[in-house]
Amino acid sequence: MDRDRRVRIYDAHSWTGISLGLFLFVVCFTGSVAMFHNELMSWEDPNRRIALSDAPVSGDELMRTWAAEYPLEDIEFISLWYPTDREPYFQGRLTIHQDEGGDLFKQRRWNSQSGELLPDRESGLSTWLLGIHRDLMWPDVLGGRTIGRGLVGIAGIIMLLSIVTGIITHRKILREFFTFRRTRTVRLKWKDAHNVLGTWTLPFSIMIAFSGAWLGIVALLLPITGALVFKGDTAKLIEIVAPGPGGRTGEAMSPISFDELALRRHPESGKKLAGVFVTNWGDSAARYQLSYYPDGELKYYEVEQLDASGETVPLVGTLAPMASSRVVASLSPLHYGTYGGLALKYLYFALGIGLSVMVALGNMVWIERRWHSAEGQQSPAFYARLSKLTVGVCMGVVLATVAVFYADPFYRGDEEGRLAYVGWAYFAAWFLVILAAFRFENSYRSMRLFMALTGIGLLGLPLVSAFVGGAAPWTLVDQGHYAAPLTDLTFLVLGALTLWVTVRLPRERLEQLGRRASRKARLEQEAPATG
Amino acid sequence: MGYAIGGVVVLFLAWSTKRKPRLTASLVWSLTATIFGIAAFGLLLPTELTPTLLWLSLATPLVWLLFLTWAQWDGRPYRPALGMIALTLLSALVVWRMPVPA
Repeated sequence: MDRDRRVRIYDAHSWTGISLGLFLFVVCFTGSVAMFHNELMSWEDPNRRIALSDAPVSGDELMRTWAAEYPLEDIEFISLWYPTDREPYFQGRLTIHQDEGGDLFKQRRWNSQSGELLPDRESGLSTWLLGIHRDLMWPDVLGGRTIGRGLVGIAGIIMLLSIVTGIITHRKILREFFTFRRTRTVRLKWKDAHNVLGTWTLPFSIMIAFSGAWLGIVALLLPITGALVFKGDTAKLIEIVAPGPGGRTGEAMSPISFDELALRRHPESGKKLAGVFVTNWGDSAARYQLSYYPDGELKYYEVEQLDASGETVPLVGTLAPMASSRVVASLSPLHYGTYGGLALKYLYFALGIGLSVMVALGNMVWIERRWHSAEGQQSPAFYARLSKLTVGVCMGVVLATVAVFYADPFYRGDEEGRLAYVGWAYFAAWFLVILAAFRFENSYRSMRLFMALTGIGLLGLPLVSAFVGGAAPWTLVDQGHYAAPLTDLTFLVLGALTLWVTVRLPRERLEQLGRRASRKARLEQEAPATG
Repeated sequence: MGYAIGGVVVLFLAWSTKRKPRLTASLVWSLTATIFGIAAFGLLLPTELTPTLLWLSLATPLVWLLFLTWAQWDGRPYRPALGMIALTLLSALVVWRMPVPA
């Protein structure tokens, strides 16, 4: 490859990194946390810390009693999700048609042992942590979640571009697998760490960037492409791609019992039922969409559809069994690591953090190279500010994530305001860390401080959990509940690891330390001669 | 008013393509070529629409990435930009002329 081309590709790699690296770091880090969305639900809500019942109460009775509160024809959808180890309670959802327009979404949870209604708790911590990664919690006034999701998708495209340009630029990629010069300059050490992390996480990076890009931009670009193909007739597009169940006939028909359905296994794979989603409930045009656990397969659920009499109905549109829908359905579980249990999620977390660190190191190498060599065309103050911004933004998002784990459990206001409160706490913590990063003259020291705060913050979370939940982790384990104690244990391990890394971080630039040490040694050598 | 805004946008894009062909190709033309190209390709393929759209949606990030890489790869700075503009216009023509799928 000619030199000009290599330089161009290298410039594209470094400029995409320095201009959008911080955004990539935020997306990668928030994604590493967002994977644990389901596991965090039990941690954030003490009412969900209950044991899974061996002989659950009738879910059908619970749903029928609830649905009877509304006129049958106003019920758009009704769904019931059965208790699991991770979420050991019944979860019912109703969507009610409203004459004034729009639908009203309602949700209830019941103790599977007693049938007692669990106290209502609106979305908070776990929803925020998932949302900030998936769509940046983009506000409606700026175009809504679709825009945010599209922007995260663009981050995936940028990451793919960085990977491609990085592979082209690094000619000795195989050697870089094992090159880490610990005793050399700061820049070389960071560069080696960037290259080692980049090469070791390469297959994961490609997978996560492609699936993330697709999940993000499909929300933004597919409607545009569809509108172009159908010349703006999106109703026709939906009719062909995702046909609806049709309306009610008005002919009443007794619904199939949820308890009866709970015993059902998938006719081909024999998989266990996770939940049922019903349209036109109590009508002869009812459709039951049954979701079975994928059991390690790359899909969220195995789906089957029944009509009002319980006969199997062929799946149509994007649900139809075809190669393209199979591939599309695999992307979300692949991206969020839901197909292999908790151990796989921990592996994804480690790789995701590795990816985030690699992105941050790339930025730091770029700054260091220009700050302390003749290559930099700006003033040293400019590079110092850029360095502080990098530390502030990167450590800000980390500390903001820890901060909301403290903010959410102590919220005592109106339930409807919980998510907004968590959001404000998140951005306030992030902003404060950025401000603090600019107050420090030495970014090495601010980095150490923020890391230490992260470690201490993580170690304190099991105490918060025990205080708010009113039960120690071992008590919960005795009672047969494992999700929240396991989360506490994860916090302890992560906190200890963070502190371990913190004490190994330098207090200032190693070259300066080195220069000072060599000057001291020279003076000591000269001292007897002069003395 | 709409024509005036459109005219200003076209003039701005022409000016930026002349000044910074690689950058404009990366930021603007790669995206338009991807969207219009995918839509035109979907209309031209004689296969069933739903799986075609799903496959094309899967190809979208890769096609966009291909155009972004091309913008930096090509030795001549104007060639990728002009290529993507040509593809956008050609695809727009196909989308405009082809009937809506049944």
